[in-house]
Amino acid sequence: MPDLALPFFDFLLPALVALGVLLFAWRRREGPASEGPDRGAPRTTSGTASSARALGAVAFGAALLAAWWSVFGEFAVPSASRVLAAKDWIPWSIVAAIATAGLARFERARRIVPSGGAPLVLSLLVLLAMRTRISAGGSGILHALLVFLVAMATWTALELSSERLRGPLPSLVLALAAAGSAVALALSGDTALGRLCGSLSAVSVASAFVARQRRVFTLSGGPVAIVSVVLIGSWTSTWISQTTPLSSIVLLWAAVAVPSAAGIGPLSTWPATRREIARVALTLALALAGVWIAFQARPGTHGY
Amino acid sequence: MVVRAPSRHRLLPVMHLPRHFLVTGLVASLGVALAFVGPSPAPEQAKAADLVVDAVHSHVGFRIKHLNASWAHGRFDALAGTIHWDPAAPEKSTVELTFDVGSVDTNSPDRDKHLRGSDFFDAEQFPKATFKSTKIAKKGTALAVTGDFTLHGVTKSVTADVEHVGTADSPMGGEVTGFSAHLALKRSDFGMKSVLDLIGDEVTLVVDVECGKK
Repeated sequence: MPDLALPFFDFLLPALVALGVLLFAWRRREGPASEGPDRGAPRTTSGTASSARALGAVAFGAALLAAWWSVFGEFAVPSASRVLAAKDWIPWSIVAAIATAGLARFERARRIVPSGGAPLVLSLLVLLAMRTRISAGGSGILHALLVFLVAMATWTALELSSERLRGPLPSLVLALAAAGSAVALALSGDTALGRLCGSLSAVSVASAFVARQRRVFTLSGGPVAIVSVVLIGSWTSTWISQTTPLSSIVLLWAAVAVPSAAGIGPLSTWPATRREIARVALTLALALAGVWIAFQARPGTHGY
Repeated sequence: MVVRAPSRHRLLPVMHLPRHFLVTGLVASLGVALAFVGPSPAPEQAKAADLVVDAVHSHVGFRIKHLNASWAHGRFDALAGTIHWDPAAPEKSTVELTFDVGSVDTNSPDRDKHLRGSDFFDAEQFPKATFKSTKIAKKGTALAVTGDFTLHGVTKSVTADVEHVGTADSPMGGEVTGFSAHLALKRSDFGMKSVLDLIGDEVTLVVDVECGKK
């Protein structure tokens, strides 16, 4: 009998956690009696509420922290006797993203940490994950700057597309792209981070279900920051460790960023169905190309 | 005809030498002969010395369980270190060893690539493993060497069982000293928790070093 513990704790449990919190955050609330033709009808009051978006960050964050624990079995704490690897900063960045998304509910805090604090969190992630290269100076600083720009481009594309495009398909596109990263990283021998990206894919499927139930649902303003942290952290780590080929990582990044940007750019004038089909096709093509390169460069059976 | 017996002195010309000369000569000859063919004279009390590890005659190996069914073996090829060795008072000795985890060799290039990745050693981010002794105690005929072992960015205090294998004069010149160490540790303690169900947690490191004087 196959061991079901891994798929349960890696994928199903995080997805259920996200589903529960998202359904709670975006629940239909009975608003005050409406006037006019909608009088007495249930009214969604949380659609634009910042609290729902902050809870979205909690949903994605808690789910992925649970997945992290399932995969790595610890939250490594930096100390005199522990130097953290690039990937070890991912859970702390998730916690920071949850905190800043919560702070963004308050007007005064929004002035200090604009855009929900996501740029701040991403810059911290890049600085901490690449500190060894940065301290080496020269090209290391350039690399870090480049990674930060890639991180910002990813977050911006996801944030804008999530804000403008509604329904379950944006989440499913993200699930597809994350699944591509999961397979490519696992094939390259970065199995642990591959599992984490798989968890992100499962959580995205759960959010697609919520988006289908609640048409006002959006990934922007919280969940997108968590998604960016996980993907950028995983890609950066596997790049620093020289596990996954760089060309594969670039294609996996493109599978996330390009369809999102296209959805709010050249494809924005297309009918919704046609646009989303094009986005799915674009994501699939880029992710498969990234997986194919990782497959070609895979280290055999690892000798196991 | 009277035949005179040959002179005693003619038969043994040396006999005309004073007796004490003969005794001294015999003792000296015996000493020289013993120096070449006999056992070495008792060594004088060895002195403390600063030694450097000879990587060519040293080895860091490990073994770990595979599928809980067999032992898989591997080694690290790039080793360096220094030892301050005091034979008269070993507890005053100190040890510092370093090896490159990227030099891991398990007789399978694919597996080695995986081991160098972030699932295990993350050799790009943490290229070195180091050991620095903090305490050395006698343990029967062996030594218990306690020190800080840093691997994969994690530093933990560990104790290795160390045997002083021997000391000899090298035909290449100088004196060499050898040690053999066994160290048992858990890889999960060093943040390497991938595939614990397939590859065991407990690892035995065997470090054999030969050192020469600095």
